[in-house]
Amino acid sequence: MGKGKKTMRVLLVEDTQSQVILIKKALERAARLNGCDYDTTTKANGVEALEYLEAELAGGGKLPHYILLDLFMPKMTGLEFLEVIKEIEVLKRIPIIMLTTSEDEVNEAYDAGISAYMVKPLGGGQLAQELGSIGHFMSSDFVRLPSETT
Amino acid sequence: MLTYLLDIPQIFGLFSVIRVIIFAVTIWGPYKVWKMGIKMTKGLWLLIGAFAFFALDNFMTALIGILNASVGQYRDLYIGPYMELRIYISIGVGFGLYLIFFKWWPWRLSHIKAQEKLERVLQDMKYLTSASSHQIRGPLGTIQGYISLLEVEALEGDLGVEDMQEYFSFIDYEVKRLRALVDKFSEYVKLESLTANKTDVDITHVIMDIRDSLGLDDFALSIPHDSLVVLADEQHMHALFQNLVENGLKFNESATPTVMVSYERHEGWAKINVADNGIGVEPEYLERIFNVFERLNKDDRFTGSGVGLAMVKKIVEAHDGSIKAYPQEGGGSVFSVCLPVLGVSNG
Repeated sequence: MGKGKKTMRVLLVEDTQSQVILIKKALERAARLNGCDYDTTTKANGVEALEYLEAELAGGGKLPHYILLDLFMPKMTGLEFLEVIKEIEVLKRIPIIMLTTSEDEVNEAYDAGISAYMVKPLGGGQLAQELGSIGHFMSSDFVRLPSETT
Repeated sequence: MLTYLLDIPQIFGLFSVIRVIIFAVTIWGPYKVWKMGIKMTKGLWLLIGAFAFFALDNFMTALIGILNASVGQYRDLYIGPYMELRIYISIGVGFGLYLIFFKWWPWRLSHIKAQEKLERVLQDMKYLTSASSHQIRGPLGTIQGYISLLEVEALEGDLGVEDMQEYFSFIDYEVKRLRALVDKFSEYVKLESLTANKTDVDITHVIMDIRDSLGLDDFALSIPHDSLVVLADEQHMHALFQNLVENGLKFNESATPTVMVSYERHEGWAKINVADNGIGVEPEYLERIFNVFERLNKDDRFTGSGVGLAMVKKIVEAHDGSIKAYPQEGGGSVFSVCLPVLGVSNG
């Protein structure tokens, strides 16, 4: 734990503006708790998120460390997004935390390949814990993203 | 009498004994089935009815046979009244069976139908409840989130006035959304229990009323000049077209939002097209838009409850009609309502 805080990139896929602000606030708190920075990119739906990821992938840019995914979105729902992303070799290894208002679709989402789910509204502490545990898992033996420079 | 009965030449008597036995068996069988508590199906009731009829007929014939045998050479004298009695009883049994199969049995049938309807309503209710709880949880979660955010930031002392205003505006927005949702929802549920009171309704008049109540001009809502009379519930028609017109104007980014109503007349039915220059519907959603709580446009600029079009569909179906949505060339969408018309629709 040097002076330089680790910066983790988070892709937030969420269509409701009021939710985006809430989640960003929760991420700020989680960053304080986890002692790192969360660099958040927000996309309003699955289509835009996919375009962003593909552009990053093609351009050798920086892929996110985590994806926070809302389940109910226009154009491309969370599950449809998961379906597409799990077909792409590198992208499928990015851990995805699903954000939902109820636990009804959790099983389906786990089948589709999410790493964790959280029920809205997100608490900062809860989010910190979730991101911390997944992050740990990722850095040990899970994935080394091609864009990542240590 | 017994001597007559056993007298071989008196062949009627022998037949009568056989008939009495048949009678006993035919009554005993169904009785046994009934006693066993087997669930009565329509077929079983028919079988028992047939048996009972057969048994009674046999009994009467046997009775006549016995009397015939007993009266011997005087049978021509006595048989007449008993033949008549047999006819009366047969008619009585026939009437009894008529009551059982055409009055009582359909009562059972309607009972089952009512049960099926109840199950369907229950299923609908289940879907509605789960869908509505989904719809309600969203805003509730946001409200809860902002309240705790306000609390935390106030406690930590870094709650700015602008932040506070923003948070409250979000809470306000979500509360309003919930209120609108509940209003629409109760409207939808009311519709479920409302019975259509069908009269001759002029659709042109209905749409003119809507234009007046919404305060629109000729340009925003253009209506055909001729009348179209359908057999329908006037209030339902009002709700139906008001929803369609409002939708067309609400989901609209055009500088001059317009809705155009036109008619197509056919033999026995008429098609009412409600066309708008709005944001349109993407082809893959054309079916889904009529589901309750299906809000395909979650864009914050367009606030819909997801109940309006479900209501529209319910009304159309209650009038034995159909509704379809089409994307319009050059933007916008068309909602086509087909409704039955008595005879050739008049002009």
